[in-house]
Amino acid sequence: MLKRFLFPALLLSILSCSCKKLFSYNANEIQIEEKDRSQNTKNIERLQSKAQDDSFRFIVISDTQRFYEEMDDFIEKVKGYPDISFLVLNGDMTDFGLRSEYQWMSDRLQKLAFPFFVVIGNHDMLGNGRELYNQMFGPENFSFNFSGYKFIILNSNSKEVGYNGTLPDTTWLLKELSVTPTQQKIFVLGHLAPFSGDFDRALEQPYVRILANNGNVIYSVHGHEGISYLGQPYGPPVNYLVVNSIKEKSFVLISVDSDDITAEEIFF
Amino acid sequence: MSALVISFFLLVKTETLSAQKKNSNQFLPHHVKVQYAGGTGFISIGFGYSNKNQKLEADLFYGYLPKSIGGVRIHSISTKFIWLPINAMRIKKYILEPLMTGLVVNYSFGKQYFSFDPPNYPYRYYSFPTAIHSALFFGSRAGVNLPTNSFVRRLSLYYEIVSFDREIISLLSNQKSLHLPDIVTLSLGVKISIE
Repeated sequence: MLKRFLFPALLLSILSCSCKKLFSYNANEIQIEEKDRSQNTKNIERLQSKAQDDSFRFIVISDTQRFYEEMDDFIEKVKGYPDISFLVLNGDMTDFGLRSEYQWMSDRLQKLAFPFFVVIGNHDMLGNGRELYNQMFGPENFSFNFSGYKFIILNSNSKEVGYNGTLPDTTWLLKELSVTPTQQKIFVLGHLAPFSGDFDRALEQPYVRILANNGNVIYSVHGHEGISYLGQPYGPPVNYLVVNSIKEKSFVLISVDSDDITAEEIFF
Repeated sequence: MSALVISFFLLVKTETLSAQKKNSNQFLPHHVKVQYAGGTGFISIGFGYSNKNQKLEADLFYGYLPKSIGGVRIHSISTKFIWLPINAMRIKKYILEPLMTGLVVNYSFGKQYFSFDPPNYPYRYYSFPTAIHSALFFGSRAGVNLPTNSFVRRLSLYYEIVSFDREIISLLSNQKSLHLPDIVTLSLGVKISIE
């Protein structure tokens, strides 16, 4: 009799040990471990403890969605890159906005030797994704300073809220820019570019004017389009950079050397 | 969601007809189940029907996930279709059903989820519904028959190894980076046969 029960009992015990997560109650559940909470906030602290020079390099990747193999290859590739100050994942970290996907990508980012920041993308807002992002990374709009530069990160996924005028939050952006000391150069990062088809048309010109009129914004960095682009579609002084999906096995390395800034797409 | 319920009743209709001979009330379920985890809720309660030779089962569950456990409160309904390809074995007073496998389709209630027409987006912009998740599973069941004069005919315990559709899809396109332990979870349950 014991033998007949042995097979399921054995199977049960093997699987209960080998499941990464033993029980799942609903595909839309959002329980998060303490170590995975407020990661952007924690990484700002990590970054502030680093030595700050007037020359530094950082990496921008985007649209990692369901491309775990490409992400693993990327992580392997940047291991050989010295002196990277931090990385920004410019939105669409997940494909379905699910807890499991947030976890899988977050586990990979945590392998990096340097701080990282995650921008919220439209896919990341699906289902309970927005709540997951807020709990795992922190506020959707935030900023940090590094080596005399300011980095402003914002949720620009207008279409997810039905173009109701709240995304991107231009009031918050204006306030954030107004508290930035003059002379401090600024990078703004958001998943959707103002020229994207999914950006709020009523906010395109206000966004562009806010950046241009400020005078200190040098780069507006985006993803979403599945292409690489660098130009000044609205004229100087703001450079608009679109970072390709990790699917295409490329990332952008931004090197700052005093006031000289170069953005280079690197394939792996 | 209504399609989920309709498909459940369409499927069980033929089964209930075959059971009609011995059961005067054709709508009386053949069994009731209480399940822990497995994508149908923290706790889910269901009823269902099995076919004449006990090889197929169809169940309808209501599941609840409290916020304190799931991070968000979720009410959901699920239909479960089970196939038992191997004959049940009798070992003394126990009945072992060594393999059961099948499909669960879960619908979560909530305004943040959509079925096929996401708000603010053209139909099928996102090619998957966030309200509906399906899962494949396999497991086993062991039970004991109760005296013939009792209302409950048999009590069984079961476990299932469950994997959700979007996680299976993710694994299939990332076989070097994701592995089976990443996408499987466990469920436990009780089946109360009352037929």
